[in-house]
Amino acid sequence: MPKQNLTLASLLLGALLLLLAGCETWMKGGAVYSESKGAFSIRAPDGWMYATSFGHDFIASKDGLILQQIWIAHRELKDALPNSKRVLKDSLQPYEVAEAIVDDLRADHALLNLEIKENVPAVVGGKPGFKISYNFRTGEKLRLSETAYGCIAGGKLWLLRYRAPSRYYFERDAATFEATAKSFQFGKS
Amino acid sequence: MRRLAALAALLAWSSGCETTNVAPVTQTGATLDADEQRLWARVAEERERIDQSGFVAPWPEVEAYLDRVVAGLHPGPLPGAGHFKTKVLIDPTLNAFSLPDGTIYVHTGLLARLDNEAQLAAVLGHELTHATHRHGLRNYRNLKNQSALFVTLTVGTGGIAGLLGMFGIDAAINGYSQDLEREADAGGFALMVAAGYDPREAPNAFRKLLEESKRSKIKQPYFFGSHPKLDDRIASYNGLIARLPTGRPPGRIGTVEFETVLLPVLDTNAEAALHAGDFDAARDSAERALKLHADDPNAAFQVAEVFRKRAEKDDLDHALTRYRDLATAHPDFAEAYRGLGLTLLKRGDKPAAAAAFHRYLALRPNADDRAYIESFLQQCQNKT
Repeated sequence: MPKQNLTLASLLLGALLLLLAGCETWMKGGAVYSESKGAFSIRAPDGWMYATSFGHDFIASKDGLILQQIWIAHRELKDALPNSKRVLKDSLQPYEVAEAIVDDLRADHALLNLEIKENVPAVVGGKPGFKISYNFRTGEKLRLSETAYGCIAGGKLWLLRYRAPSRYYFERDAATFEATAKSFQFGKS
Repeated sequence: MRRLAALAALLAWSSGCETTNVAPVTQTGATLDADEQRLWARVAEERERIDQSGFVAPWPEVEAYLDRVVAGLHPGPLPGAGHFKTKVLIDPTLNAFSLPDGTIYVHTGLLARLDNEAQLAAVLGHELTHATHRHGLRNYRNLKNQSALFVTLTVGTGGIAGLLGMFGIDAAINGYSQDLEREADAGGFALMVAAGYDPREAPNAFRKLLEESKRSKIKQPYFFGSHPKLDDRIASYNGLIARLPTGRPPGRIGTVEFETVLLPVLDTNAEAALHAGDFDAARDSAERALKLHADDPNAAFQVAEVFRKRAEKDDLDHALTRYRDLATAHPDFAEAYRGLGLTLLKRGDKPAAAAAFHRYLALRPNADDRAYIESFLQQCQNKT
């Protein structure tokens, strides 16, 4: 390849990488974030950064996504259980939805040594829902802990989750997550 | 400059190519080739990952039985210090796979659908032929040769080599090439016939898989990958049967021996299938367990759970019947009362639901789902 072409290709590649990196805009927490269509609002934790991309409605982290993340995602009921053939229905009680989600987690072979720590009723954004806490190990032997609040609202499954390495980070930021979860409210849309 | 680059590429390519014409070992203690050693090191890591995943069933009796079937097939020797060891993975999908070091994993989903030991021997014979014929190494070299230039140019970075190692092992799980799968079919078939099993059970095993693939609406079962197609394989086995000498005795089927160890497999597979939302598979496993042991409370519970969770048409009626029968036969089986309470609550029979929930909590005062049950008891007290 001629030298000029190589230089041009390198520049284009660099520009593309910069462009891709710039697509994800991170904002400082410490204020209430309202979803653009008014689906929900949540107080982004102070001292954290948050974004509304990466396939989630909202995602926040303090030290980087590997060390901790809080995220909100909604799924259509027919696609709500990625590891199960079961389809959720609007009419299900929170217990049944939580049961289906725990079943789905157990069917997920990426979650090694899954251990359900807690599965209790909870109020999520003012609606009856559930709270599930569990630990698992990744294929890379990283032990992670996760808590998921969830409910069915507007014909969709809403999940508000917190994940961090079990050692040190999960406990450290658990209270922040609980405060953030409490601030979550569904909007009018 | 161009000539130099072309020469470098040629050297890189030629230095990276290795023969895929690997012969099966014929003597115990045969050493591993250098790249085979690397593959095995990677296999050891993968095996450790699988064994520590929490998905390996803790059933020494079932493993011992499977090991006996393997030993009875008299497989050829493995290179290095390899030896055959079977393990069961709690997974309702149809699969079995062997690692190059002789470790064979069989899914509960596959075991639950086989009828007898002869069918199991066909499956295990196929898998151990992959190991004795060093299909992992052949696949690894084939992949490596296809990417030899890239591998050679990136040597030292570790990236692509690690990826290839993963692919080499991945084929053991997801299926090898058509030729290697056919070789394993023929090798496994010869072993099962030599061991005195009824050869007609080999195509029968594949017919079961074909039926299951149609039922679950998947193109092909996971088992043995997607090459060749199951119809072709059944025809291929029938061809092997046709070539057997006439007048030979029909051979052993071994239904009783197989079913003797099957109960924990069926119970666990029913639960795993239920987790995966495969209600039909869950019910099939649980009903089969009940046929073997009519008094098995776990299987009876799983059938009731299928009806409650599926909740279509008359399912809640069936669930109620099943939970009640279970509670009558096993009055201390706490989960029967929880299921009964949940189903009765859905039907609007609050007093009966409350009674069932109270009984559940009396039997399980520290139940993990106590908070939910207490909320249901509150609902039962509400008039509306």
